[in-house]
Amino acid sequence: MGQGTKESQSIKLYQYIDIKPLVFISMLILSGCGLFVANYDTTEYYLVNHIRTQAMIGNCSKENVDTIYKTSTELVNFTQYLPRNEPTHEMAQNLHIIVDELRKRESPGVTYCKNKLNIISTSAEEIQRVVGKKPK
Amino acid sequence: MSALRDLADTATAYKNQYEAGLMTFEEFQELVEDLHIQDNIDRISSELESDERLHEVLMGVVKLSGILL
Repeated sequence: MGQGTKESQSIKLYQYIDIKPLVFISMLILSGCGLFVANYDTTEYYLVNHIRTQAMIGNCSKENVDTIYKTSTELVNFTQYLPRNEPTHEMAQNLHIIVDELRKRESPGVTYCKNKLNIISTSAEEIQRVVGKKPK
Repeated sequence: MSALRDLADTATAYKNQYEAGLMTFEEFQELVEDLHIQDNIDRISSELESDERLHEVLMGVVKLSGILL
């Protein structure tokens, strides 16, 4: 008798709680969280941006060129096995060729080196523009 | 077209620098070769962008039609 009363009370309680607004609010919160997640590959973007910035502000010292080379290698490796990422990998490889040429040169002239860093920076900017728009 | 003009301007700047004795022939040659790579990067990026635009157009049509994918 007592148990039957409890069940009927809980049934009555569900009748008063409308679950629809709770579901709606939960969905809103979850989709809101999604707004803060970047829809592009942040690692790719970071690596390209690093190359671009180093080429822009850095000089022709061996240390700077080595840093650019290291990041460029990371970019090539990172882009290699991601699915449907062949064009980005190809661009990364092309950029790496330019960086590698600069690194290999024994004693580069100032004009040549500045031009080379400019090419690296311009190419990296172009890749960055594309990577920023490309969905993950 | 604009990217091509930029490349032509850059090539002319290299030529002028080389003729002014600021670079060796080898360095000049390498920089001109790099323009081809730059052109390649421009081409791939514009191809990717046209894909993206096509995707946006398709999604716009799908959205308008009310079809749930």
